[in-house]
Amino acid sequence: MSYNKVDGKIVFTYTLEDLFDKSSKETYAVAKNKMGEGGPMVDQIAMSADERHFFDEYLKQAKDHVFFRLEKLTFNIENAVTRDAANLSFSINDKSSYKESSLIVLDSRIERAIVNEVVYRWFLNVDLIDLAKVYLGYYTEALIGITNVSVELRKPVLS
Amino acid sequence: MHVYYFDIQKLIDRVQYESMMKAKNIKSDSGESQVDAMGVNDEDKAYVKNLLRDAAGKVFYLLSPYSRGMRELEEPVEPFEFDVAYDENPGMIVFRVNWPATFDANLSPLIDQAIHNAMVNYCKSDFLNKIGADGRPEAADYQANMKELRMYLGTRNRYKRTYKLY
Repeated sequence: MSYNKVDGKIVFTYTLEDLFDKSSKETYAVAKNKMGEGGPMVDQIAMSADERHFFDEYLKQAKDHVFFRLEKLTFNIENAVTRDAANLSFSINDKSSYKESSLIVLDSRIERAIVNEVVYRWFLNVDLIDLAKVYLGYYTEALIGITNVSVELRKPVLS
Repeated sequence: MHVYYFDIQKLIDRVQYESMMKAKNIKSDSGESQVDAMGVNDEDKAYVKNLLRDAAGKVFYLLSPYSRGMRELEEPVEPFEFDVAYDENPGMIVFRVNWPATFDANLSPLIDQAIHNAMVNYCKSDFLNKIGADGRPEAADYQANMKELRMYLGTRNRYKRTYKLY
């Protein structure tokens, strides 16, 4: 669970280390099954710590794309998206009219959208177009999921 | 004198809630809900408040025959007020009417609900029309609510004969 509720807001926070770790593991899982002349193409395909600067660059775009889906829920919130050396956070208004399970699903979809976009862009970079298309599909699906789940969080409490 | 009063924020909340219910199920080809484009989001609430002002005016037009002379009373009152404090609650819409003696007081809650529904449906319909979506079902609901309201306003108790014929 990567969210907490504070001052009328719900804040989703993801550590950059965790996001990198998950993205990297996806690429390693693909790399170990891709055979080249000298065995699994781990060096060529996997995103290692040496390629962290690529992750940082892709994360900027992923952050913006996710925020675009959440933007309507951030009315009157200053600094709805923040990123520092360790964490990436999204803040939305808490209207208290949703099931907790909606938050859990939204949290999961935000994370999946970010990881899948990073992996998609990485596979484009290493010229694995077919795999990039697969992760593009996953990433698009996660973004659509963010919008669809966010409906529950937009409804006001009726009295 | 009878007073009907409505909390503006609660009306806007209901407009927003029902717009989300509709927008949730309108999806693009990719399956994404069109809630950003078609729902009343928080930034739209100020605009919906303006629509509510229009809606309240249209309702007051139906009530106005029962509101005459209020400004000429010893303690004059406004028959229609928008975004005022009433009963220590801020942000209210207030309608004041004097029902005739033969008015059926049992209908008062129905009149209250018909006014509430008419204002909400007017806002929903106009908002959808303004954003280029189809607000005709909501417009039809609004017309039906106004028709109900006219019907209730026109209902009277029968005169009761209080004398013996023979």
